[in-house]
Amino acid sequence: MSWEAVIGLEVHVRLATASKLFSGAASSYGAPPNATACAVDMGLPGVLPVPNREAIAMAIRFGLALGARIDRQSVFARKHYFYPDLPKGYQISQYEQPIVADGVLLIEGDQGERPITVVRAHLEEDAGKSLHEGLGGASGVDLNRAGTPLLEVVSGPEMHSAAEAGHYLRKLHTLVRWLGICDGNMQEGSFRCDANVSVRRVGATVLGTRSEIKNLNSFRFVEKAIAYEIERQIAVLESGGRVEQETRLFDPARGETRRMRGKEEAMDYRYFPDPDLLPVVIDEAWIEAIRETMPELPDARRARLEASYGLPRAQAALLTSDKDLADYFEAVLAVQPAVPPALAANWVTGEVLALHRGQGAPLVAPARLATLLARLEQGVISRLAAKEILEVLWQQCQQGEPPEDCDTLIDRLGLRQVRDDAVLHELVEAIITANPQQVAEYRQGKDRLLGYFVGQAMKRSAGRGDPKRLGELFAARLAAAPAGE
Amino acid sequence: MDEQQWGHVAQLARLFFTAEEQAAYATQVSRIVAFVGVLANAPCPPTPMAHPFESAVRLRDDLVIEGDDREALLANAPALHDGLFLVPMVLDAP
Repeated sequence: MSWEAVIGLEVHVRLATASKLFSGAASSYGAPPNATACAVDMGLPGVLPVPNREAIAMAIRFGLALGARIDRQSVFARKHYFYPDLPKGYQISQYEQPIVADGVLLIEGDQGERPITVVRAHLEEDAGKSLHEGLGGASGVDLNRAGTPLLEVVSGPEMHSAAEAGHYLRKLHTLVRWLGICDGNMQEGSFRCDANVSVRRVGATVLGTRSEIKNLNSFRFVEKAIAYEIERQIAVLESGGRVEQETRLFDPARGETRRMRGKEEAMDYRYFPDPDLLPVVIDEAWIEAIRETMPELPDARRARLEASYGLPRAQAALLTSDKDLADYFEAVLAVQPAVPPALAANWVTGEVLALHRGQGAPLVAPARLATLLARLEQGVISRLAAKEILEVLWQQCQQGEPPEDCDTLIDRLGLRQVRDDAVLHELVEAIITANPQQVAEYRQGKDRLLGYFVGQAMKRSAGRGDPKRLGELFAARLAAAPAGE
Repeated sequence: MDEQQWGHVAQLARLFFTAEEQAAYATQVSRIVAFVGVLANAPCPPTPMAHPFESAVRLRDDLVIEGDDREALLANAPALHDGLFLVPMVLDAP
């Protein structure tokens, strides 16, 4: 009898505000230790938290994007535990009345597209950071991160494989960047994931005992950790054992999860409403004002790219995996409507993405890529030449030099395609003379040698010949009587 | 409050008691809890209120207005290393 895995994810999304959730200290990353921690973040006596309006607006924005319920009243609660990087002895979070509830995220599941419930998303402050190495047996505490705003996004236990969990995470990652509420930087901890994993017999309705895997900071680790954990639990059950409810840590070096603490040591957080903070009241007008600023969302945009430009679904999905990339693609077409959308899409998802390898807008301005593709489409340059020019433009941008005009660059590099038949004829004759053996074989019916001849001619012309025209000329010349040879 | 509950609450508060202390305090704390338990009989709305005042929290604009008092704040610390507060080593993750 086979098994079914059940996976739920909790993702901590660091909101891209300028200041912290409850204080006016900077919420930036990478400052010297304790440089961006103020008296509120340090939990000094006499201070009071005051919530950041923008953080709440970002949570509303997220809720609207998921078609979720935005509760008109939401309450901050204290979650208690002792750790040196939590100076107040409690974290301000939300418990009974989160700001966002019952949303939906569409994922590409193992059996096609399907909705995953986002049970809740609540606001909370992050803790500081503890360092344990090189401090002579002591721990060092840096409170810069303390108080930075997090949106904890909790999915229903509705995914059934590591691949589905990975897909959910990527969709969520795209969405929060798309909405401009998170920079998505996983190395810096802006997007962190815990996974709840259990297995049960296929067809069973009761959930199995779950384990929670903590702090997974890359898509690959999430997928590896979940895949490992599913196998581990199945092995335990098949050998007649019982899965324990426990918290586990993923060890990337060994590719396995290991026990961190069991149910008996589970945290008792003693939540209660924070008496320092009155309830947050969100009125309809505020929600409507935010609704009006909502961008076209990734799924809608993907559908539009498919319908308007006839792009294949996978390519439209790749273009809409990043708002900057989708904007870039459409900007190219806006500058040069004569460039076929398929050509632009192939270049943006191919050459541009290969050079890009990062976030943010691609370096070469869309207008320049548009001109380049127009010249390619007009047959002024070959595909190879276009690639060479794009690389030069990319390097110029990277080195902060003003990028050259595309047409100037074509001439400077001598990449203008030779389309003069007289010149091409000479080239054809030269190749025929140099390859008598292949010419004889071609004439005996080995048609595919035509590609070889064109290749030779392209090589001899340093890529400047027009391959299409060369093909025509070779075919015509070799079909004619071999007199004169 | 039985011994197990006492142990759990003491652990949560990071308090440690001798057997005599525990016997004395357990009786007192049990009486306090029982007294607070009277509140359970008070007529209340079905959902407990989050706050006694019927008003909303005031919100703040997203502006950075703190961050120029690092030295003063660090001066409170008994031990520092390169701007980090030094504390006895704690490894159990929360």
